[in-house]
Amino acid sequence: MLYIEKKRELVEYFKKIPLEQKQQLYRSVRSVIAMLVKISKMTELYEVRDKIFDEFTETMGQNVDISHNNLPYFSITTKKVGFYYQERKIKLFDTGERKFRNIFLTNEIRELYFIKGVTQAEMRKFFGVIKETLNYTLLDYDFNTKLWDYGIVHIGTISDPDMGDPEPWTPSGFECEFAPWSREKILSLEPKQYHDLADIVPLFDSLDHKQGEDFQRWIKSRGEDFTIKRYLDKATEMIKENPADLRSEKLVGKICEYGIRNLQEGDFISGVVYVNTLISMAKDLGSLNKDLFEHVKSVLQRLTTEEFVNKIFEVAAIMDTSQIKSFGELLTLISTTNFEPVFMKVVELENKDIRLPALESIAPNFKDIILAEKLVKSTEWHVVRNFVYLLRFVYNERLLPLVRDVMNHQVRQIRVEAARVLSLYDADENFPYWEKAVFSPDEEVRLLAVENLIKVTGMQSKHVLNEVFRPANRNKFNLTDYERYIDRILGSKRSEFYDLPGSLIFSENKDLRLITLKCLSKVEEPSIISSQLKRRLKSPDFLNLEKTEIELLLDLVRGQDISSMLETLKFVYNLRGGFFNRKKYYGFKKIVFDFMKQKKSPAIKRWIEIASKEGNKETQAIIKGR
Amino acid sequence: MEERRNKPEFDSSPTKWRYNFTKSFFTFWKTVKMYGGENERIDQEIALFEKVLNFFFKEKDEIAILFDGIDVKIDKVRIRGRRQDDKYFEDIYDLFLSLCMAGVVFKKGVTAQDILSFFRIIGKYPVGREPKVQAYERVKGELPDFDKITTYPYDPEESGSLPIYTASQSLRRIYRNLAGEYLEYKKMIEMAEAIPFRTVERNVQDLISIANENSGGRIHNFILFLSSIPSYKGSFKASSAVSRAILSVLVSLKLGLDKITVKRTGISGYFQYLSRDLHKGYMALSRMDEFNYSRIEAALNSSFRITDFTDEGIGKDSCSSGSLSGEILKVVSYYDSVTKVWPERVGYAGPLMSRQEALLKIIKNSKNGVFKKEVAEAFISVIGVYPCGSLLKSFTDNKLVISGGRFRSFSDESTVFVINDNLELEEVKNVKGETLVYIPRSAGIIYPPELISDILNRYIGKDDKTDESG
Repeated sequence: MLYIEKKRELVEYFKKIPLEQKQQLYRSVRSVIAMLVKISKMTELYEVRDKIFDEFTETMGQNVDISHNNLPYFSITTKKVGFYYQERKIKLFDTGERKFRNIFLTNEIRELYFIKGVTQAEMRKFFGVIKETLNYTLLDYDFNTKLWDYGIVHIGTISDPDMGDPEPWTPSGFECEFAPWSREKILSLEPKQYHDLADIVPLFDSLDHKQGEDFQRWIKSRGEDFTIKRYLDKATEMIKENPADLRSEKLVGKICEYGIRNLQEGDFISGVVYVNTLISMAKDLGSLNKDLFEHVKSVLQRLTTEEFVNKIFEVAAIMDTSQIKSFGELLTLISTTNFEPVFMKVVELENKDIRLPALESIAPNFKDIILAEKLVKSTEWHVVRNFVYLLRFVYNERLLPLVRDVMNHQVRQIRVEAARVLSLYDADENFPYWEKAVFSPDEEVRLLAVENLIKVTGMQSKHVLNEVFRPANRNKFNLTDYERYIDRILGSKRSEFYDLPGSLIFSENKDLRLITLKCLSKVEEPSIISSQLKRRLKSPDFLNLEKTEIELLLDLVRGQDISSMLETLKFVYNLRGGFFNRKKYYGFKKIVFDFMKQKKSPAIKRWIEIASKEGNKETQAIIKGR
Repeated sequence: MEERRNKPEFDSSPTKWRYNFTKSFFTFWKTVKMYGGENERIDQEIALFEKVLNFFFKEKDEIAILFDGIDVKIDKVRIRGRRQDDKYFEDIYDLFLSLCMAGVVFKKGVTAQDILSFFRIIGKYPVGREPKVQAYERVKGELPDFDKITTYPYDPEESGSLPIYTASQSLRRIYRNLAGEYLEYKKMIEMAEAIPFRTVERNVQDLISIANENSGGRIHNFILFLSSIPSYKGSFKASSAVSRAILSVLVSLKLGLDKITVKRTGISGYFQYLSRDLHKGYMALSRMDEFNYSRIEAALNSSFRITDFTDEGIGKDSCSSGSLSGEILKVVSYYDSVTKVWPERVGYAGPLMSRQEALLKIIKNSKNGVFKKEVAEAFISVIGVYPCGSLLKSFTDNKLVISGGRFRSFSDESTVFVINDNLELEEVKNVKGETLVYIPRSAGIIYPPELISDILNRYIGKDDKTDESG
């Protein structure tokens, strides 16, 4: 809600606007209120998160924008007999008008205002506030408190508590059973001495007023779930103290009620803590109070009924992300006994940000191989896909044949998912599958295959990888593929495979060569491909490459074999063109020496020193920068 | 269910008679409209209306029913139709609006004949129309020249526009509401009724909005001074509840907590000591129609709180729920309790300290882990080194002053209220903290009520000279 002084500013601002300008707005303001009346009726039929409100949000946004095109602020007066704009009654012929207006009357709202900048999210929340207050009896909240809770700042109210005539403080308010201290008593009090401050000031100065990381972590650990847990711990303690007491009965009843209700309303954070409390309470109540035990037991049994499961999935479909973790905990709990129906409900969740963590949550409860066979053979491809995703979190070698079966499924997503699951298992055992998968039509599968082939012990996968890097097969892979493969090979630290990317620096495809060199430049110790590198440096092609490629190649001149690589490069010292084209290699040499001069390696510095002595005049001139 | 105001103990309640007057006004008009001439019903209505008028004429010469476009005022007091049998209020609004009439005043000595004549004329006009000045002119033209009945026109342009409170006026309203409602809540606990949270929620929300916009300056100082008041309308516990709510809100904001957490902490602070019986408080606050986190938090913190304010007592685990709000309230409740003098009936048996001694204790106890260090430091940062309400001596002019602002450090400047030898407010000025010393034996001081109201009015008054910069 808007700060009170801002409300005053707005009202003052509005008063100053010429009447004609304000009156022009009547029609658009009327359309805003008419729409709100309509929406208020719809909130009685649908949840505000329902898609039907998408359109309302948009239309309301447009209506409000039309008004704000004229004025950045407009307000509607709410009176006992109707809505007014500029003392003109807003005539509405909608049966819902009276009920909607009643919100404002019962909440003592005098004005409803809209400030320019209302966001769609605010509008949606505003509909939520209408829904929650339309029929509410005002025990714990009202329209104004809800606006504040939802953080709606561009829509607000001026209500009765904000207004009134000044009523100054009067002395009678501060009279109490203690007589005020007499002047004699007060005047006789001895103050501290000035020098006493010397003892106190350092104590205050020693406070650093900083919040450490530990404190921030502590704050995070004190969320709503912690509070609910502590609250229910206290309840449990009271119940255990007097299990036969009527108060305990009430408490158990309330815990059961809110456990179920909160879950059904989508508050999984508190609901799960309630349910966990009931589970631990049930253990104790068995010996303390049979009736209460039976009650708790029946409530816990409700959690697995079809009706309950349907309801929680209905609310889960529209929950916000803060609830995902707790929703997952609930699913872990309820999928222990009836895995299949819960899994099938998870599959129906459209939002994958909710669905995927939900699958992960129920995965530990999956143990039924026969069910696995059934699900893998399902004709519904998304059932298969979600089930295979779930298998990522179930390590069971008995499931491997099923996963291998779907490696060639007609649906691409399933093939990819299966490859991901397969890669969780021992690569050696699955070598035959990866050997085939490396030529899969699916990019992700090919990459997984390469990743797994690299993991295979010994050299049995080398020949498969050789095939991948063979010039004849290069058109089967794209540049991104090769870039990833090289990265994976280099990242594996298996130097026996380094020659594969090394071979690509001779490719006829310039882009492939550049990508390869860029990948190789990340390698700490390029000596492993020094023989290929030296061959490249000696090749006549080297002299005709573009600057970028030359520099990328020269950048690999480092590591243990640097001396022999530099030796290879000595041919540059006296390189020169023929009689008719003496400066033929000037450009090439300049690139080489300029690049090498930037290097700090002592070996390279020596190599340049020698060049400046033994090189031809052209070389010496380049080194000297002439 | 019988309305409370119809019970015999409310026979002489002016509130009840104001409602009676409104109802009688309505039924008289309705009856005349329906039956027109003289008959038995009309006689009954006249008798009833005269009875109501006579109640007011015992002490007043006139009684008015006024309508400002929003509310009806009887005898200048606003009354609203909120109860089941108050549905006629809507018709009264309609009647006044249709006639474009702002009010009627009946003077002592008005005759039954005049009253009837008045109602016959206004009863002739249809209701449910928009207010038009011509409507009033028509009625006025028809009304005889009554001596004892006066009517006033309604101005549609100016209706219902009460002034909007300033931030400081809102704070005054918040304080009064919270302190005023507290005793009602205590009664509800005893009667095992559900405590409605709406009013507390609303006031704490408003407090947060104001505090959030004023992290320094006059308004912040005003908030702090309100938290230092030991009792309001004779209730120490109500005043303390508001102090805890205020201080816990300020500390939570200082710690940078999200506003919903700030709100719940403030509400918890307010309700923490509502009942002496820990279980009763827990149960009463847990009673809810719908699941409510504010209630959960309040119920939890009401069952974990300091009951023994000695150094040994505050080290016990039961002093805090361990939640974020619990740790904030531990510091806030400790400070509030040990710096105030309590009547015996409250049952407080802890130490009494000057505000600065309490701060030094908090520093000491945050170093040994009793209070959470960051929370204690945020608390001290919020209220400053010479907390509001402290009696201090200015050694530059040897005058007694009351701290009226936040001194962030001893070298910082803030507001003090200078008091003269008659304990009257002499002057408001800004001074540096290093020119002040505190008075140890002033712990639990009760200032003259006139002085407190003078100081509080200075925070609101137009001639305010307190520090704006903070």
